[in-house]
Parts: sequence; structure tokens; C-alpha cells
Amino acid sequence: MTDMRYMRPRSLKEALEMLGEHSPGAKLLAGGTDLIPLFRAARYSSESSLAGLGSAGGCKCGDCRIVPFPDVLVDVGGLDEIKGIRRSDGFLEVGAATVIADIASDPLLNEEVPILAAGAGSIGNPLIRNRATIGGNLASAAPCADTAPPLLALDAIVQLASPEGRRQIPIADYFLEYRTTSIRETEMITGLLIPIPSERSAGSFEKVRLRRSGAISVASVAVMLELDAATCLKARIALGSVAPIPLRAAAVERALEGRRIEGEVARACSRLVQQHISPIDDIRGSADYRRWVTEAVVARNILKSAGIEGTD
Amino acid sequence: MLTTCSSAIVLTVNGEDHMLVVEPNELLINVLRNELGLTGAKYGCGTGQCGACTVLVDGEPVLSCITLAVAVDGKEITTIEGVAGADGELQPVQEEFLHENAIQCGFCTPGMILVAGDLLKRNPHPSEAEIRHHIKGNICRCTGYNGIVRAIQKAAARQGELRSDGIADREEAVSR
Repeated sequence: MTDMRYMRPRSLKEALEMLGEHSPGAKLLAGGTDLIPLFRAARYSSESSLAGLGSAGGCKCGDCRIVPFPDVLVDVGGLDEIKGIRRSDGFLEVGAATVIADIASDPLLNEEVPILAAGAGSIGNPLIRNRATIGGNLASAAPCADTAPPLLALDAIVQLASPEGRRQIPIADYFLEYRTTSIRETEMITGLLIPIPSERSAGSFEKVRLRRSGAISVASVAVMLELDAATCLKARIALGSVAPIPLRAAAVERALEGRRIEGEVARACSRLVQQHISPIDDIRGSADYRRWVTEAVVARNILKSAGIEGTD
Repeated sequence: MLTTCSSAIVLTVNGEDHMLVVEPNELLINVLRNELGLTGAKYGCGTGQCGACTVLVDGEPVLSCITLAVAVDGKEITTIEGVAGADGELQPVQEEFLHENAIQCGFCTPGMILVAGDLLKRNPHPSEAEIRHHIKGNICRCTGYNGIVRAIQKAAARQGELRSDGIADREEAVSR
């Protein structure tokens, strides 16, 4: 038995009204692949002898905060208005409720922003990807959210809506601290705008993990370079699972810009990643290993993006 | 007892409509197993990692242990009980699971068969790599997967023969 109320709005407008009326206390649900296990972890910790089994009394992943059941659950997973992938005026627009499986397999995204499709394809397993959404991946704001490094490297813009109106924020300003974002109480993510990379751009994504499916990342790296021959005009280096939030390594980016990319340059610039990261020890890897592997994987993916070595 | 929070939902399960009153936090797997007595879908990890609870929702494989029953109101659900014909005649993929010893303890089998059927519907001629990729969300601790992969390959070959006998799918033949 629960006091929770479940609501299924028929439109975005209705969803925002529900959110406005019931906040605080309302939570949005889409695929539920993250939220439902979190809610259940909360129930175990308060009601049953399973308390204390995992870290913090429930979820075993070690990364999760325990989330109590909300008073109101607003299910936006079925809203067609915030689903789908479109090209518009130099941007790709991805609806927040687009499922991860569709992002991983979408021909337009695979053509224009393959690092996002790759990040999406590395999430969970095929069954999780059938339900999980890109909006949910960002809203849960786990340090290991696998779409976050590609979106940071692509300078994506997060589209938000509330009963008061709409606004857009660069994804670089979206993640604030551990599992905390700049989404306001009555706001929801409606979609993402991704500038289509220029012809001279190339990128690469790599997720370090302990097995090939159903794995949470040990470290993940997304790289986007704009190149003139081998000279780097613009660099974006983004990281997951090595800090409280997914983040960009600005020092590496600045060091690369204006340089001719080759092995020693990539390795030297990648060392600067250390000043940005603060990894933890957990069941998937030690902090020391994460520091070592992040630097190596950043270097490798800079070279891969520049088409120099390590192509797959 | 009805509380203010209970919801009446309609699920079409294996072709049959069921009107149910559920709590908003009730999981689909529990409704299927406890209310409808369909115990084919298994409760494994309870966190969406093992695939034992797989059912089809509107034809797509979904983890019923992390799906709220209210969230699939009005949808068509297929469980393993709905895969064989009404007369109990097994589908090729089910028969091949038996022939290839792809079943040992059987706990993963309902999910595996539903996912295999989903793969063969999308991709009638999958490579071994595609088969292995598609079943990555379904964990088997007994077979080592090789029998399962062989069973899916043989089912694919049999469906191909059925098609070349001219029984199946003209549309697909045209689209190729």
C-alpha cells in the first residue's frame, strides 16, 4: 500500500500543470529503469530486513542516493511531443523521452554525432535501452550517465520547460554537484539541441568497463576535435565516472588547441586531465586506477579522433 | 480494498483482457504472477539486470520487475505462456531450445525465448554476433549460452525455410 499517486498527462502542457500543482513532492517518471530500483531501495531500507544489505541501505551500485517514494509520480514517458529525433537549422533536436535504443540506432545520429549513439549504445543492456530515455539519463545526473560525456563534448543545449515558461541552458552549466542539476523544482527536460559538428570535426567515445553489457562505467571519455589537416582548432574533452559530476577537462582542451596532433602531444596534453578529476575507490575500480586509465584513454581517443592511430 | 490511490487498469495479456485494480507502486511482474497466475516470467534480481522477468509490451521486450503495472494500462502484454499456439503447439524457437539443450534450470528461458522471438522478428537472419548482442540483457548461469545461440540460429534457419516454401511474408520478400 502506498500514498503515492500516479498521473499520466496527455500533453506536455498537462504534465507541466501537474508538476506545478504538486511540487514539491512530484517526481517525473519516463522509462523508470533508474527510478523504480531507487524507489524500491528506499522501501527496502525503511520496511524490511534487507536494510543495510547494500551501501546506504539499499541500492547496490554504490552511486545512488536513496530516493523515497514521491507523493505524486507524473509519467511523461508516453508523451509524443517530447519524443523523436529531428534535424533543424544546423541543430539536431532530440526529445527528452526518446528511448536510448532509438538514439543508439538512429541513422541521423550515427551519421552526424556518432559519439552520442555510441554512448547511448553502451548503456545497460538491450532491455534497459528499450525503456530508458535520454532525458532520464540526464535527470538522474549520475556521474556515470553515459550520454553525458558525448553531450558535453558536443556542446549540447538542454531544453527545459515549466509552467512559467521555457529556457535553454548549455549542458556545461547543467551538472552542479553530485546528482544535483540546475533543473528547478517545477521544471522538466523537454529535449536537447545539438549543434551539428562541422565537416572538419571528428570525435570518439570510449567507456572503460568490467564487462561488455550491463556494466556501469569505470571511466568514460568523449572527445570532439575540429581539425585543419592535423592541427587542432577546437577541442572538447568530456569525462564520466571520475568526479562527482560528468565534466569537461578544459585544461586539456586549451592545451590541444592550436597544436598539431601527434602521439607525444596527445600524451602530454592528457596529463592535464588529472587536475580536473577526483575519482573514488569503488567495486569497479580504485581511484588510482581511474586516474591512470582516464589519462591513457583520453590520449588514445584524441589520437583516434585525429585519425592517427588506434582506430577500431 | 480500494484506496484513493488504487487505479483500475486494463491489460490485454496473451490476447485476453483483464480489468484489474492495482496500487500505483505495484510492479507488472507481481500483477502477472500473483493476480493472473502467470508464473512464466521469473522474479530474478528485481533491479532490471538479469532479464528473467522479460515480457513483451506492445511487442517489445520489457523488464517487468522495474515496470509499474499502472504505466502499461491499455497495453498488450505477451508472456511466455502466450507464445505457443492455442493448441499447445510450440513455436520453432521453443522447439529448438529443447533440441539444443538450451534449457537447464529454466529460470532464464522465458525471457530468452521472448527476446529471441523479438530478434527474429526484427532480423530474420541474424549473425552469431547479432544473436549474442541481442541476448545481452538476459543472464543464464547454466548453459554457457552456446546452446541458446545454436537454438536461435536453428530457429532462424527453420523460419527461413518456411518463408522460402512460400508460406510467409510476401511484404518482406517485396521489400528486399
